[in-house]
Amino acid sequence: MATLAKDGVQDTPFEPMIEIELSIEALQAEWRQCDGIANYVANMISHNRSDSIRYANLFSSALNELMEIAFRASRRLDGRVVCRILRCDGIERVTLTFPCAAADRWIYEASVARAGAEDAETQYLSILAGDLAPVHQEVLSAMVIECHARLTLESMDAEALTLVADLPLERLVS
Amino acid sequence: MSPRLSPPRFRTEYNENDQVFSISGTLRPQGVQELASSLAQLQDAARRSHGVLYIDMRRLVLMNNTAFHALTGVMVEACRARPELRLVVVISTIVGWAARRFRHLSQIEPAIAVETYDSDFYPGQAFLEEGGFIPILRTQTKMTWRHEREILPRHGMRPGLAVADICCGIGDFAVLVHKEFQPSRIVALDHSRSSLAYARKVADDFGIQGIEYTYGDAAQMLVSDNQFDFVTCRHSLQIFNRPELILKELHRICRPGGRIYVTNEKNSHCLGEPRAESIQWTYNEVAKLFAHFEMDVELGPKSRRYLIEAGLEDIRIESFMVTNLDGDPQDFVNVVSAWEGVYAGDMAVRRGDSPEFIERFRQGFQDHIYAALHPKGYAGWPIWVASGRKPA
Ligand SMILES: C[S@@+](CC[C@H](N)C(=O)[O-])C[C@H]1O[C@@H](n2cnc3c(N)ncnc32)[C@H](O)[C@@H]1O
Repeated sequence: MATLAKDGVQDTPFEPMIEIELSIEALQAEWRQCDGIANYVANMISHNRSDSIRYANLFSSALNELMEIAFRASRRLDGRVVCRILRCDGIERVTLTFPCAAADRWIYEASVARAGAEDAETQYLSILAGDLAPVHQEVLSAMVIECHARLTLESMDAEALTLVADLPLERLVS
Repeated sequence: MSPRLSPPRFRTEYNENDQVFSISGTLRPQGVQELASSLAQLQDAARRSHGVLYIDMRRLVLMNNTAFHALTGVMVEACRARPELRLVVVISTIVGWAARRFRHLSQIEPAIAVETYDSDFYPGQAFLEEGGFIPILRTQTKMTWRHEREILPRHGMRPGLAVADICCGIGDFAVLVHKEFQPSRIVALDHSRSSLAYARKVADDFGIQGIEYTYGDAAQMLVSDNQFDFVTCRHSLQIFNRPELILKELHRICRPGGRIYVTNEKNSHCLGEPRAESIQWTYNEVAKLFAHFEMDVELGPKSRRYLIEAGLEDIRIESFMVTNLDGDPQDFVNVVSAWEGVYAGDMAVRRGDSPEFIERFRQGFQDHIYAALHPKGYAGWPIWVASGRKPA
């Protein structure tokens, strides 16, 4: 289920695990880095999951999609993306802060809302069937339907947006 | 800015005879144009196929949405262009995202079916993965460990290494290594869910933490390259019809300078006194029986060649004999009687052997047991250990 940002997301008992900051320009120049970072981070955080290797594969898959959204979102190359991974029991929280002009924010708000709507699955199927939808919509809907992600948005300041995805992957791996 | 060109990490291939289009590796393009030739190849395959075209994605490790979207687009289009064509997408149960990502495909295009399928990695899989083998493995490892514990250091094992035990069975070797050599990391991989469940339980019961048990396919592991200092694969190369494919994977996950350690049997050299002849006859037949199912339980002495051909250096090879005199003879008896159960009771029956043959076949195992328990008897099971270093 996706909800729009509410207060208090920061107060949850999630333990921070990793934080990385990435240059959009460098990523665009060497796209493969995104894959490398997703795998690296996935390996780092997965070792104490019940099936570490398969967890890392699934987590890398989800993290890479989310990072790609953040990298593709920005029209400016000089920005940076901050990626944080936090954990609470069986759930990993990925937060991605990326440059996003205030005027563009509604795009992501609408997508997060649509991905978590009542009829999310029907909508997702129609996107798969070829309905025109922005790439990030397809990815966010897939996250919710395929990975049971819970998505929220937070806006830190006028220039940046934070996408928060709670991923209950431990349950999906076993 | 144009993306820097680097070699693709995926492969596509069309086998026209079998009508199988396969995609393997990591598929995370920045833009769909990077996939243009593969997509064209798939379109072409769909045009040239009759009836069913299989799209084999079992070895596809990772894929981004760009690739997913493009590939499924081509598939759906192909079905719509040729209503008589059916597509079967084959995925592996190991790769969690794939099962999730592809499961909706047939809902949007009924001519596409999605199948999870990885039960035929090797011909004898059914005999070895199911419950019947578990008791054998447990006693076997107990007996081989007496020897391997001393042998392992000669092959480079020492405390603090990152170790992977591939085809770990019920994981008892991993537990023993964990206790004896305190590895910095130890991963134990197998493709039998029941063995892994057993392994996790054993580790829990002993309060052992830190062994990473994982469900996987030794021929295509989800582990990235150059991860481990010491990669073991025990009694398992001999059960694959193409051991070189497994070795290639062991080599890939081993760090340059690290070592790969394998143990294998030569079943026809199992021996015993008294009743040597009957015993020898039966174990010769064991080798033939496995060969019938495309497994080579005579591989032991060939392992030197396999390791050399896999590109390893500083090859070390030795053999040891597990006997009835190692600890309690009853352990030896238990192993032999478990062999009898699976080889005579299951595999020979499956091959269609006559009752007379099976009776004689069983007799050799019984005689081996007789030799093991005989006060002046001697019964042996020889094993070859080989290791090699991945060039730095
Ligand atoms: C003969 S047993 C050896 C087990 C263990 N190494 C030992 O010595 O006790 C072979 C093992 O290989 C596993 N196996 C078979 N095919 C596999 C595959 N494709 N990937 C991983 N493991 C596999 C089986 O499940 C079985 O546990």
